[in-house]
Parts: sequence; structure tokens; C-alpha cells
Amino acid sequence: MALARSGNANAFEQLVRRHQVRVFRIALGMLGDPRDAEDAVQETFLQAWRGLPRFRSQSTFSTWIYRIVTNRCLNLRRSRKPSQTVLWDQESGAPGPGELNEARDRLRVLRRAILGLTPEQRATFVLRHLEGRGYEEIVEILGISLPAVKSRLHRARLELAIALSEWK
Amino acid sequence: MSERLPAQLQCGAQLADLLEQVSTGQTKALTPHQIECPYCTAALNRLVNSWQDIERLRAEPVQPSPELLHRVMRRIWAGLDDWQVELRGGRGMTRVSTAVLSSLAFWAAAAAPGVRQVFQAQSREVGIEGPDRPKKRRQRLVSRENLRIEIELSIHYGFSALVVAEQVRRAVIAHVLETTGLDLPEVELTIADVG
Repeated sequence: MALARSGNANAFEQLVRRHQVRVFRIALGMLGDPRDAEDAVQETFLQAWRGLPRFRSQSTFSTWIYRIVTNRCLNLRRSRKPSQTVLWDQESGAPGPGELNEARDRLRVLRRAILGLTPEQRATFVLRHLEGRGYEEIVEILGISLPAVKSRLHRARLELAIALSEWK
Repeated sequence: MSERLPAQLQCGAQLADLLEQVSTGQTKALTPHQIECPYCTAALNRLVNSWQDIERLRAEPVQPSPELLHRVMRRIWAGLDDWQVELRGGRGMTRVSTAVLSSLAFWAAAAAPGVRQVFQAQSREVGIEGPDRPKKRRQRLVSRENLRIEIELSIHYGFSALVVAEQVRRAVIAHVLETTGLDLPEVELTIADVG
């Protein structure tokens, strides 16, 4: 970490290797499209590289990089019209047994429902329930209060539960 | 397909409360009302199913494409100067990248007494400014006279900044000299923090 901060690109490459999957998962959950998510991850790491000399370890590197990717995705989502949303549920597998198809359909409904949340609710939900981050860390990543995090989560979960309840 | 659950069940229970119960894994801790109520029982069953989908989505393997790392690093390397300094002696030419000098300076500074943390150590070329300064600076030689190491660090509380700075400067010059034979003309320090 210290070496990367001093401008050593090889050390930074190790940080990218270590964190790219989780950063990508957040971006994919937020944006819904793998290509958009990869673009966001790329820009996130470049921003981190440029900002590293100013990174002072008040938070961990992972919290810091999650904050960058979340803000980047939030800005992208806010600036994008709803019609421009590309769904993350378009992957198609070969038809399988009925149960498998049903499970796939349920996940498709869930992904669609997540993409239907507001960007702020989605960010909170993805960090908490898909990435498993703790409340305190989410407060730090999103820069909002603990009650605000809980309220957004509550709202997001309710929206999803109602959407998913169409399935038995 | 079933009907969507309402935000408030017919018995008056709030869907959000039941959901909180499911998402925190407390589906076994039912209230006396929930044990008796068919609406709560049905809703809880459906919410448990929904929550299992969220768990399944969370467990799904997700991988970015293998090219992502290369794309990121290609842009980082493209933005870096790869200056080199020629070393004396030997038969044939020996060049050392200024990135090596930066790393040597970093470690030497970090080990100096009174230093709490080194934020960055950079090798820079000085003395070439204005229109003569080449726009593309990759893979070219820098003369020793134009080389400068810049270090930003924090020191421990209670140490003299001047004394620490002098010790860092001496340590960096000695380490670079010992490792590469280069006698650095200039080491510039910024003490950015104390703690």
C-alpha cells in the first residue's frame, strides 16, 4: 500500500488484482450492465491511482475504493434517463429442467427489481446485502448518517419484497 | 404467479416488520399473533422464499473480464515517465529507471529515525522547463545533475523537523549511492503531518 502510494505501479497492480472483483460486483449491482460496470471500475482505479498520494489511511483502502466506485456509479445513474437502462438480466442459458428455469426467472425478476430501486436505495442495498458490508462502513462509503442508511435499506427491502412476492 | 403482497396485511401487520424479521434471520422467533395469524404465516413464507433469492444472487459468481486489469494498468503505465539515469563504470552501458530511485528513496526515508510515514517519494527531472521540455518523456536519459528526489512524509511528535529532515536526506543519499553509485545532487522534503 505504502509503496503504491509512493507511485510504484507494480505495487498498485497488486491492489487492483486484490480488489477488482468486489469493485466490479458493486458496479454491476449499481449499473446492471457488465460493460458499463467494467468502464466504471477502470475509471475508479485510475481515479484511485491519481488520488493515492493524498490517501491518508483514515479509512481502509477497500472502503476508500468502494466510495469512489459507488459515487461514480451514482453519478452515472443520476445522469442517465430511465430508457437508457440496460438490464443485467439478459444473459441466457441453455434451457434446463423446469426448476432451473424457474430459479433463473426468479433471479431475473430480482435483478430487475433491484434496478427499479432509486440509485441511492440500490447503492445501500448492494453494499449491505450483496456485498455484506457493515452499517458503519456503509455510513463511511456513502457519507450519510446511520439512520439514513437504515431508512434507505428498509425502503429498498420493502420494494423488493413486494416485487418478489408475485412469485409464490 | 401470486398477487403482490400489500404493504399492510389484512390483519394489520406491516410487511416491513415481517421483512425485517426475515432479513435478520429471526423467522423462528414468532410472536403469539404470528403463530395464530394465517395472513402473517403466508406472508412470512413468501418473504422467506424471496429472501432466499437474494441470498442466491449474492452467492452467484461474478468475474470481470480478464482484460480489465490490463486495460487499467496499460493506462497507468502510459501516464508514467520512464526516465533512466546512466550509471558509471563497467563495460557496456547500465541504466537505472528513475522508478527504482523512487523506491530506494522511499524505503530509506521510511527507515530514518523520527519518520512516522512516507506518503510518497518521486524522482523528478529539474532544469528543463518551457518550450524545450519534451512532450513525450518516455524511455529517455536524464543527466545526474538534473535529477531531484522529492519526498513527502510525516514525523513522530516530539522530534525536531530539521533534524529528521537532515537524517532522511543523508539516509536517502547514502542508500542510493550504495545501491546504484549515483550521488544525488538534491533531495527535497515536505513534512506534511506530525503525529
